[in-house]
Amino acid sequence: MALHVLVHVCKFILNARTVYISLLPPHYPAFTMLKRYASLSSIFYVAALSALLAGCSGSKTEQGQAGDTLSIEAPTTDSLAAPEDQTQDFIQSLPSPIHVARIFNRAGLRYVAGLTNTSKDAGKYQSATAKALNLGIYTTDLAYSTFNNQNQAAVDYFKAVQKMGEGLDMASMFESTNLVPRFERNLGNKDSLLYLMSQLSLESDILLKGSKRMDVVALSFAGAWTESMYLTTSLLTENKNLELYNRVQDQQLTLPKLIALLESQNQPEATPALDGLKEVKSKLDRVVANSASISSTEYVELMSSIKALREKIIKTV
Amino acid sequence: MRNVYKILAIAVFFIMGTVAAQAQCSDKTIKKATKDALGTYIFESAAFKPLSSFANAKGRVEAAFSVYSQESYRVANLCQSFTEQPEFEVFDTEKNLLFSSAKEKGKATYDFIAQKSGDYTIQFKVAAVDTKNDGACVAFAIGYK
Repeated sequence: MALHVLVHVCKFILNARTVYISLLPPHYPAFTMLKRYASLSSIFYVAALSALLAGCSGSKTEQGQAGDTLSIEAPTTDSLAAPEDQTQDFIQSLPSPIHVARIFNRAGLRYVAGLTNTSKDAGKYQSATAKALNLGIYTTDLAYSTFNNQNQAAVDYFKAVQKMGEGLDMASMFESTNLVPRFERNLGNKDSLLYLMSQLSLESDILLKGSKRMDVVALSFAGAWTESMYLTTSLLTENKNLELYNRVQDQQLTLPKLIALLESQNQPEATPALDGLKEVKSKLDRVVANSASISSTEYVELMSSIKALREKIIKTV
Repeated sequence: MRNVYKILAIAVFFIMGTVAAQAQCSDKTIKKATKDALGTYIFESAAFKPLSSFANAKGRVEAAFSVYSQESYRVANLCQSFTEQPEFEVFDTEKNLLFSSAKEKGKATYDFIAQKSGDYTIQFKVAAVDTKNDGACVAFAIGYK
């Protein structure tokens, strides 16, 4: 309640800021107020007012309304220190989930109906963890449908992504950019759709990093990565595409970073997904170490571990 | 009356100072800089932090990012509000220097095709004049084709 009142006070002051800066005329009510303040303790009020205004900028960003606000970047003593390599000054960049899906697509990942998570389930995810994980799942499904010209499915997945995003206080990103209507208007134009997915990726990446919500970054990437691997490994058993298989093995590069990022967030709710990812990592390491073929036991075990993890994620509510 | 104007002037000074330092690493600034710098490349990721948050940087700030073989990338230096734009270098998976802005007339982007999958490194060398620059923001973005 107190926070709510503070937010309203901050909003009021932010709205008044331009008037305040342009030096008020003597008849302006706030002028009288300030005059009274001046007769008391000028320095105290100046400092307090400055601190309050600065604080208001920060509060607004913390609500996730990043499009037109300033963000306060606290000194980096938090979990943003690179978990895997402490000599790094930034957290190690994970690839965009859409890029991962694109890489698999270019390597030969083709559309098979019924493999993706149904967009109708978007309403069932209630917890923040489930929403963040399935934001990732739906982002991959969106990319997979778009790359394979499944237009109606792509629109449904874009809406599912929006629903997950709104549940994670990311609504401003969709409102300010009109992404969903623009996506619908451009159906059939793959370049435009790719551009709009890229916009989605940019908006969410900068919004989440700017508001230091690395937990959502980590969980949504975990969901997206798992879905990409699930779709790819499912298809590889039927279509033994070696290029695609090499791309699966390339994921040995990304997976340890994802695990390290999730560990650094120290979220108990993420433990099942984290355990699942560690299991997948052990299987993937074995596949790579033994140069295992697609028909090998190692590969079958990898595929099973990914399927189990994916089931766990889409059933998290 | 005069006192009030003095108070307002001092307050504006404090506020603008705070705002200027924050604005450089604001989402809005970074988003615009990213779009401009990546051009036709598709957004992959971005990272941004105020220079003042790198307590032990000692004039160098380093970041790593993953690349996949045969993919085309653009790395863009988006550093904001430095007195001298930091020197920007890119190293491959074996730490070989691939690009240095100092040798490329201060060019802010580097385009390449990754020869093999692995981790590349970006390094920013901050000029001595900027090491205490609280308004500066270290930022970069990565795009792909």
